[in-house]
Amino acid sequence: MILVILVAVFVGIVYIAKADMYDPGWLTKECQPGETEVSCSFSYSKPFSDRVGDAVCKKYETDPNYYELVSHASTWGGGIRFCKKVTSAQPNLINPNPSNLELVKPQPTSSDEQQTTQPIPQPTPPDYTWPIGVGVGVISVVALALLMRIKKQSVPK
Amino acid sequence: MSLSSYFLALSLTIFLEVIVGLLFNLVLKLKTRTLVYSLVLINLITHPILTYSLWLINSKTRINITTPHILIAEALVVLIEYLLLKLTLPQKTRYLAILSLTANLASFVAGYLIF
Repeated sequence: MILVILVAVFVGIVYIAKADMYDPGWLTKECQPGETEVSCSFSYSKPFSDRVGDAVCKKYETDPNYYELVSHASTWGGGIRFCKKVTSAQPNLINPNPSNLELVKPQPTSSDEQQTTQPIPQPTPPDYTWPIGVGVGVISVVALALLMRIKKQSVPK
Repeated sequence: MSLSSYFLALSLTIFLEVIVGLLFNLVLKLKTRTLVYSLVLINLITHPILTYSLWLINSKTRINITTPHILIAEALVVLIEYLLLKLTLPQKTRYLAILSLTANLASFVAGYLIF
């Protein structure tokens, strides 16, 4: 009976959840060192319809400073992970008229001269290696302890 | 990857493996609750470790995780899950090896076909 219920539930949800069995790329891909990762999610009002609630995704898709790292989609929605490109100092633009764009080099000052000799500091993403590792370790140890308890109960003395 | 996405992937893996386990139990005739608890706990050990290891290898060494890497990792998981099943349920060990192989094959193939 339990088996029948489980199979029925599985058959019912598998279509909805099909794409949420993530590929290794979605799980493991990361931005290059120094790049900042951002992600967005979207949904579909109904399968195969237009994306809804994805203003953030569209913003990053059209922003040349970002490139798409990996994406996934299912029948109910999906997500995209972007990386912000590492850029050097931006040139100053005057006159927003595209036909008359002019690049203006800023006049160097004493403080600017100092800055040019120093590398541009890049924001470093937080390193979650240890906290996640500890979490995985704790879950594994607790699960193993419970498994040993089951073993004691299942093996007749 | 967000934490909620990971938990969804973990839940689906456990769900598939429990279904395979229950199908096997038609032959094994083990105590259903013990088998289900064992499968859930074993997956709670192997799945986070596997995912974390792949993430760690990818992020620290910049090695792109490809299908051969996944296959090697899956083979290790099959072996570890078999040993843990054997430890918990020392009856009918030969069937437990086939169960471990089939359950992991099912989740692996499902992931490949569905995605």
